[in-house]
Amino acid sequence: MSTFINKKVIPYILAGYPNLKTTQTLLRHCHALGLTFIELGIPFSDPSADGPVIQAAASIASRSFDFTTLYQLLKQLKSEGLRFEFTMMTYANPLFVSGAENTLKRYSEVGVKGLLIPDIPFEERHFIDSLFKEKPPIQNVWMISENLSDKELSTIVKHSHYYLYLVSYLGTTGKSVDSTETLKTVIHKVKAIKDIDVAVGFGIRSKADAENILKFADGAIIGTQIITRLNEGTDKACDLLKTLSDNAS
Amino acid sequence: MKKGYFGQFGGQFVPQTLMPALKELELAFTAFKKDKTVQAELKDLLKHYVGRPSPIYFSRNLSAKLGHRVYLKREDLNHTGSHKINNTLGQILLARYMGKKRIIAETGAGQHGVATATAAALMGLECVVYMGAEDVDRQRPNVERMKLLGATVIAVETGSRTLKEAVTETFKDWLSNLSTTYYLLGSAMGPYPYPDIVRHFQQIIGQETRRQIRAAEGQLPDLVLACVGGGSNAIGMFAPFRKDLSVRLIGVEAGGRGTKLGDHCSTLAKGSPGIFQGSYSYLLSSPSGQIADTHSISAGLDYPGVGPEHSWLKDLGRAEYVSVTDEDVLNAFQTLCRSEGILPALESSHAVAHLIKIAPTLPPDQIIVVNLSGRGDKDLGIVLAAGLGA
Ligand SMILES: Cc1ncc(COP(=O)(O)O)c(C=O)c1O
Repeated sequence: MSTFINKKVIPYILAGYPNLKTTQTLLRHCHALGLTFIELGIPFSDPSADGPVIQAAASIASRSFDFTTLYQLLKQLKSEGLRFEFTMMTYANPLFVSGAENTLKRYSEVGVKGLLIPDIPFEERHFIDSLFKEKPPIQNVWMISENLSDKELSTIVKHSHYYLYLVSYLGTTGKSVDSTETLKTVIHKVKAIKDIDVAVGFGIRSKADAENILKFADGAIIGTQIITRLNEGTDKACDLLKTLSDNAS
Repeated sequence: MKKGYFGQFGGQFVPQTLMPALKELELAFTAFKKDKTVQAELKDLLKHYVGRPSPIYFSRNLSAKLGHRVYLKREDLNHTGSHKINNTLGQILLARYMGKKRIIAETGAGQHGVATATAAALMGLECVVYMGAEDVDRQRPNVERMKLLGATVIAVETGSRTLKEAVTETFKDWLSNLSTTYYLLGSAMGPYPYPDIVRHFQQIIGQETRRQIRAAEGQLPDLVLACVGGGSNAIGMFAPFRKDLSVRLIGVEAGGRGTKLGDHCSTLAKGSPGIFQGSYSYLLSSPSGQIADTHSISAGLDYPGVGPEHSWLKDLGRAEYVSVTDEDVLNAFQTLCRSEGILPALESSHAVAHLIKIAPTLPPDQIIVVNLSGRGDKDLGIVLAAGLGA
């Protein structure tokens, strides 16, 4: 069954940073490189799970972000024949305020298949359900980590039908992976419960990191580093994506 | 009611990685409340270290002026100068009970930071306080106090450089140091069980007030007022009166310099429900769901969210939430200084200001209690800059 991600690097693209035109450039570039599985970050003014790099970027992008303009951009790309599989990564409040049902329904038409809300844990899943009269065809992606008990892990895995997001360490984005052994242990436990993909995120900074992670995980999400490069120039971010696609897909 | 919720409000809107820590905290708090030894220790500290019970004072001149019987609940007389110490002593004992060695906290006005640093010094625990850089500037005396007490103060430079950023940074620290660290949250907000924990330690305010006003007047008050930032002094005062439907409860928020988003902190009066910093509650956010900037002359109320229990009380209609402007607040501050010889915190002055505003509209001779949550020494720089005392 593990065919969703297929040993890929998954770029985290923060929508609207530094502007939507750049987002469009990056997405086209990703597509050309075969990186079509994307974490699509929705900017939020106060991102509680992110380190300083993403926080600063999100805070800037959040000032002009709206769901409609981003939707139009994705629709445009789709009309040109570019196919992506997106997981929307958004903090709860922007999605909630926008009217989650309508927003997700529209986004599901332009390639969004997964929904990851870093400030809604599995225990509050009923809150997500309560937002819909009719649930759009989008799967929840839950985050798991080494500090969950076996029982908690098993419940989350059983309720997951798309893939799981394994946080590589306890903390915010932008640090570095400390032990791949613990990650392997968690993945081993997951696969013993169910054959489901596990993507690892947080702290993956280079192609070497990604290759290392992809030896035992189904996907490696790279976020902070793309933004760090983007701060040096769009071409620098594109170079990084190229390197990642050459060596790790 | 669903565990962790007040009606539809509350919950645990935090990263999954924080959930084990919240569960650990919930279990420990349940056991802590049943532990007789530690409860006796807390009671003793509240009496001999804090100076509880704090008095209610019949404010003779203000009463005469307003035509009512006005009492002030003197939380300003507590050790460290505000109600915050009630909560920090309770939680520091809980932290010790859990075997945590490192205490972290957010602070706005610095009162919670000082009260946390004090409690940590008393227990010999390491203490780190996050404070928005703007608040570091405008509440300087409290920064110096925290340092003298042995705490490390970290100025937070992100975003609006005030309380909301301090809360975010403290959560992030916690997320990275879960096994060693206790997050001593300062208001009745955040994810469950914090709203319950903070209310538990602050309800002593209302419990004492109930007894004291009965002794003084032979009856319960007609009206109780408290200022609302995150909502801890207000919930501490309101909770013991919640079922006394004859007692009118008014929470007073910061109306700042105007009614435009960004110019005030009237979360309950002007906001709408949303998800922020751990709970589903009223919130000030932009039409696209971004958290709004806020303004208040008082750092302790300068916050776009509010504790979930207040959202519930508002929707039930059990408590009313209103706001007063910076200007009203400075006038009330001045009035209390000149008419009673009491220098109130700017936060607490909000409650006084609203009373002054509505006093003429109330039936005569009402029995009224205002929670004077803290003293105003920390605010001298601000009130002098605003032209008072000239
Ligand atoms: C004296 C005083 N009152 C009130 C507040 C507001 O907090 P809360 O709404 O939690 O009582 C503060 C916060 O710093 C304070 O220092």
